[in-house]
Amino acid sequence: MGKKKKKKGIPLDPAAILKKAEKFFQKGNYLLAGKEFEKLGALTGQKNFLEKIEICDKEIKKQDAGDLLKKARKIEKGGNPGAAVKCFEDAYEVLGEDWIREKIEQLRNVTSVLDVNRAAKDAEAAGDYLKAAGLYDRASADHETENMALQKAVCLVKAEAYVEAVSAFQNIAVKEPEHLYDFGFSLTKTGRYCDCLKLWEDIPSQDESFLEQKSLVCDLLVSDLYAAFERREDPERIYKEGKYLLDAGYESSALPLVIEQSVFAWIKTLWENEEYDTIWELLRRTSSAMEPALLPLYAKVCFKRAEQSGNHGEDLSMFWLSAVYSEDFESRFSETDECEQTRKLLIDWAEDLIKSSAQPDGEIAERVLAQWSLEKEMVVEIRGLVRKRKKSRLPVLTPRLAAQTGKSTEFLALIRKNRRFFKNREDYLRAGCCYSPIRESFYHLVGGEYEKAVQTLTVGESGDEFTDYARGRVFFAHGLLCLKRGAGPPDEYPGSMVALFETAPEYEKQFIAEALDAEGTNVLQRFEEALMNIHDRRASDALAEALSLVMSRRAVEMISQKLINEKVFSMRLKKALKINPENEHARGLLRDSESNLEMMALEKALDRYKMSSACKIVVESKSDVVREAFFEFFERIVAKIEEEMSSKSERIFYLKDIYKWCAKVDDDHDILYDIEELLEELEGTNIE
Amino acid sequence: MNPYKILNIDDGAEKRDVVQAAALALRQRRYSAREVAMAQKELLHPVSSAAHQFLQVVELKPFMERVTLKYPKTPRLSDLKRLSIFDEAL
Repeated sequence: MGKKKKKKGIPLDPAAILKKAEKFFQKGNYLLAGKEFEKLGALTGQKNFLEKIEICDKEIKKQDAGDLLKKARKIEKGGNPGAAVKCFEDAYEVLGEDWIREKIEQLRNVTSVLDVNRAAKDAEAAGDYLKAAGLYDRASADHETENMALQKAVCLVKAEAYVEAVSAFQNIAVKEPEHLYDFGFSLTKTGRYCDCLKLWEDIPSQDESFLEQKSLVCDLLVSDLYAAFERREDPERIYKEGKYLLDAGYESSALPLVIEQSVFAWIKTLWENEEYDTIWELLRRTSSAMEPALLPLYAKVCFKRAEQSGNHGEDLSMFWLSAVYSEDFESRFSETDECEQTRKLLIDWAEDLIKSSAQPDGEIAERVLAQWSLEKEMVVEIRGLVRKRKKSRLPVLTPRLAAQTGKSTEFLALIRKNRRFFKNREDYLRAGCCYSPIRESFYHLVGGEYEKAVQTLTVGESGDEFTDYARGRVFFAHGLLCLKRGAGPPDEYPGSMVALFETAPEYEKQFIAEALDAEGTNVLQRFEEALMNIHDRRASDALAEALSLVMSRRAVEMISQKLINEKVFSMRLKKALKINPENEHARGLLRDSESNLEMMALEKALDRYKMSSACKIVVESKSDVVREAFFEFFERIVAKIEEEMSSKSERIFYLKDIYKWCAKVDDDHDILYDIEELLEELEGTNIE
Repeated sequence: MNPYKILNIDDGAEKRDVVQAAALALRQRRYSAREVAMAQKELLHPVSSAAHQFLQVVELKPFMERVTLKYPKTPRLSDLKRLSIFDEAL
């Protein structure tokens, strides 16, 4: 094969080279484009290609930097951030872009963390935990990594630097059992046993050594609490931490007593600081069954709370009255008079407090005040009863406190045995109600909450007098409210009312008074129905009178509103009179009504020229109005007869006819004389 | 109103102490003259004084009797060693 002949001496074509260079440039192949431009420069000696050559050089460098970035990313992914930093730095020199600078900083940080971490791990492995903690601290301070902070805390525990470990753990959300353990252990080592136990609650481990250590921490806590108790220090902590231990199932005979006494020591401080709500919470939490010795404390705390807040009047009345009637209170005085006066003053103070709380919520205050008054009456009754029955060892308690302390049954038995002690039957029943299970409903009733009173009515023993009385009172009040609103009372209403009126007739009077004061058709109708139902079961004269009157009043309302006609009106009045014939209201109205009816019938008869019928109505009617109307009718005809009729014979005929009808009703009426005169004039003779 | 607080005396104060405390309270001007006068009046009257003694003073000593405590046997705190059972997870 022959060798290709080298083209020698062929002159280069600048135009062809330029074309080629431009083509490379356009395609982004700056390396070849640059070479062609250089060739062209050398060939032509022109300097105007230098700019193009510079652009090509720059672009070539940029492409190289891009390659460096790719390489850097690859190295970073490979886990060598240190080497990646170098590539990024070289690329940044060419490109100068901000993100590359940020990336370099980030990688430098990572590198430094890794370096510190490595150093810390080395220190840890060498058992130099303090140094390791320091290194972790540096890393976590620089880069805020929680893991570093945790590592630091763990190293501090291992280095037995417990105080520092606690403060390190406190800034971290510790979740993992291993960290919870170390945190708790540090707390124990710094004397915070209870906090340690609370943390360790979240460690599920059942490892024997761990459980044993937990139990030891409990013992340490108990010893610590005992020591604090003996030094009379920090009763609040003794109470709270001791209670925590007991609730967690720690068994100790002395601990409950220590807790109880610490409560009182704490209460003393709270009282001095006027933190009455906290005392109240403590009292309610610690003693479910109230000890009598604590009664004054309860009462005073209630008073102070009411004074501070303007509320809590219900608690105040329950405890205050019981406290000032207690034996403990009376034992403070040698003189009975002084005791009575002081008691009265204290009761007045409490009452003023309840009254003053009427400002923000009048409705509640009114209810509380009504219940306070009832309880005040009750304690006076019960005190008298207890004093009379000297054998009775019962303390004087308000009904609600008696219920709370489980003494209601004893009070109820005392009331039942001493029926004669009470002034009247109602006082006896009221006292029984207050101390019986029906109390809640009765209290609502007294407080004016009638609907709640109905809702809370309990089904007592059949025939129990207190239950029946309370039911009667509740239905009475609620029913009355319904009636006044124009609504129907509950179904039990009539039956309950009959029983109540039998027991306490004053309620019948009250009911009647309300019925007679009723206004409006609807309300009158409700009262009429209720009275009718009650009257059917208990036909007393008073009820009959009231029913009859309400019926006649309602009939008037109805006819005045044109809801009934005269005939129905009259029927209703007759019905009312049947129930009470002495009902003057109905009687008078009936008279008028009958007269009206007769008038209507008369007018109808006269209009139709049914004279026989008209005469019959007038003869039978007792109404002068009807009679007068009848004669006035004929007087008008007689007066007009001359004008109306021209024929003499016709006039005579009609006058004689009129004479006949009028004489049928009253043969001595003046009209007869007038007609006679007219006839005489017309006939010249007497018609008779 | 707590007259004991206004006059800065305890509930066992005699009448003479009450008067002296009132004079001092007036000089100190922590409370108004009216409040001080009212506090003095309340404590000098036997009935209102007895009522205040009931209301303002809590007697808790009867509830704080002596308790004999038997301490549980516990190791010295320094003997309590960190367990390594959780270290594997670290």
